Amino acid sequence: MTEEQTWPGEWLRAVLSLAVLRAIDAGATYGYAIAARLEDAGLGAVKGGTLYPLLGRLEDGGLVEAEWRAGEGGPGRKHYELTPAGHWMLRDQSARWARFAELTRAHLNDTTTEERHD
Amino acid sequence: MTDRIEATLAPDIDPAWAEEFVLEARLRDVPGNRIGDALGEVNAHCRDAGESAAEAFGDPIAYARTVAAQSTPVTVPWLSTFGPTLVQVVGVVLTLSGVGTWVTGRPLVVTWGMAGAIVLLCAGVAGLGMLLGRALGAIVRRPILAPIVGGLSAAAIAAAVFAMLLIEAPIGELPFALVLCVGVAVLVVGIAWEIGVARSGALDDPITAPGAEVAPRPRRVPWVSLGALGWVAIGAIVIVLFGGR
Repeated sequence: MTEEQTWPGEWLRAVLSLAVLRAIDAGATYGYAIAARLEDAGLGAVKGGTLYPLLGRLEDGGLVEAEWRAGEGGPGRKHYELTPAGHWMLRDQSARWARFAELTRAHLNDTTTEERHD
Repeated sequence: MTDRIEATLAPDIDPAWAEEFVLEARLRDVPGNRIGDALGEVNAHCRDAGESAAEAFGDPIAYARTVAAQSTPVTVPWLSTFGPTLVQVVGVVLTLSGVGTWVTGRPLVVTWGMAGAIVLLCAGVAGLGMLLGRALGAIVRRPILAPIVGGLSAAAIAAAVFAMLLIEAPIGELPFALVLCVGVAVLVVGIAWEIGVARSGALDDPITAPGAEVAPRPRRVPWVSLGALGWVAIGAIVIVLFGGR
């Protein structure tokens, strides 16, 4: 695991719902594919014990719809799809998160600059 | 029984992990279809990721508690669970009292002790059932507790009932035919109630494969109902043999 992939847990918890919505929107429709997509994006390895309860909450909240599809000769997989409310939430929260990240970066850079002047 | 369910729903994960997960989820009243759904998710993820269930999902008991926290618990229908048994107990007591009065040829003298004993017996059976239901988690994981707790509680109830019977202050007298008819009628009501509950499926909550419809259950007669008739038969034989006029 690289340094980038060991983000503090509380950072990841804050952004995980949004990142999962984005992964589903980008075509990762089942649990493991979503986890792989998050890891590829540099957010780190999300364990099943964290991911599936989160998917359950998104489903309960009406942001995703889930459907079991049969596998070949064995138990199948649960596939997820964004609902219209999920699409709206993804757009709205992505824009707000980008603004938040921008403000945070500006704030941190300002502080660093001020400290340098002291 | 659970071995087959786990092998069907989660063939790609450690059966011991699945068994612990199912047990804890059941103890926390997670609905059967939700347990099947969660087990299917664990199996698919572990198969795809090439990880064990313990690596990906951690401790099975902790994960079952997480799933339980997100589920609406199944409510235990106490009346359907204990009602038929209690009615049958009253039916057995009344029927055997009727047989006793018929054998001795004297009318049944109903005492305050008898009335109190029946109330105590019903309260005891219901209380013991609820106690065992609440302590199920501890009992299942420590099997030695079940006979100790159950046995001591049952002995305490039996002792209290017999002590109550020592109160001989009479309420009134009843002819044997009336006692026998009422006893048999109550017994029939209790057995019919139990069969009705079993057929309605009110107490069934099978663990089902994800997305599967619940298969229609075979119509069956619960053999446990015949237990009450068995007790009546044994009791009646003993009374006739040893309680002769």
